[in-house]
Amino acid sequence: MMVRAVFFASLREAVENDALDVDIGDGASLADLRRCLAARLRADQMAAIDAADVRVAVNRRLVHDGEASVLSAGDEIAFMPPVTGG
Amino acid sequence: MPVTVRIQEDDFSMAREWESLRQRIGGTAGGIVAFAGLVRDRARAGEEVSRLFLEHYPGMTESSITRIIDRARERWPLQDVVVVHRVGDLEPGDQIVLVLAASAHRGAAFAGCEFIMDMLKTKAVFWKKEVQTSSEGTWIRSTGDDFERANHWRDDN
Repeated sequence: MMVRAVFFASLREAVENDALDVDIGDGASLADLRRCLAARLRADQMAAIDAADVRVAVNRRLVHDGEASVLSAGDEIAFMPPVTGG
Repeated sequence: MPVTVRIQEDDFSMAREWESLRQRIGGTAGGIVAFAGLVRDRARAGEEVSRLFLEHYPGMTESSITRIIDRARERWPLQDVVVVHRVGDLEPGDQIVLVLAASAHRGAAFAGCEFIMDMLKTKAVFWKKEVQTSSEGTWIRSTGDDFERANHWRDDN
């Protein structure tokens, strides 16, 4: 199945892409997606994505630590560095 | 309660937003508190800022702001709230954010507006890059002061 990883701000710059389409096995989890990304990206890019302060949203809903995260075809998984508005 | 959340590249007119809110609330509210944020020409550390770039996540950014407004409404009887936030390239002096809060009494309007603004700084889904004349720019983070202002709402009211 295909899912899409999207990157914002500093992560978009680190990954040099705003989105990557990833072909992943049915029933894959967020951890599986990270492994697929690790196979495609450089170590420094992956380190940016895996940083402790990066939050992940699946279909625009934040995934909290420890939450089960089985992905479905067409999911959009966002990797978001710390936010600031105003 | 009417809530308006808009993300846009274009500038906004405080007067127009104010007037349309005033028409909407008619005689029911006792006051409107308004805040407009501007792009400063100096970063926190003092270096000159020549440009600001704001990025957002369409859909998620709007819902993050709506959630902030919902939290404000749980605490204060707000009758109408407007948040307009700009994205894209901005220059010093440009308007960046507008918050309007209307309530029957001024206390709720002042507090609601300040709460929403403080939460926008730490909880709304935006990313902000300061570009200095001498560099490619730095993605900035909420400051300690921003978190302090957001956190102080936990304890009082």
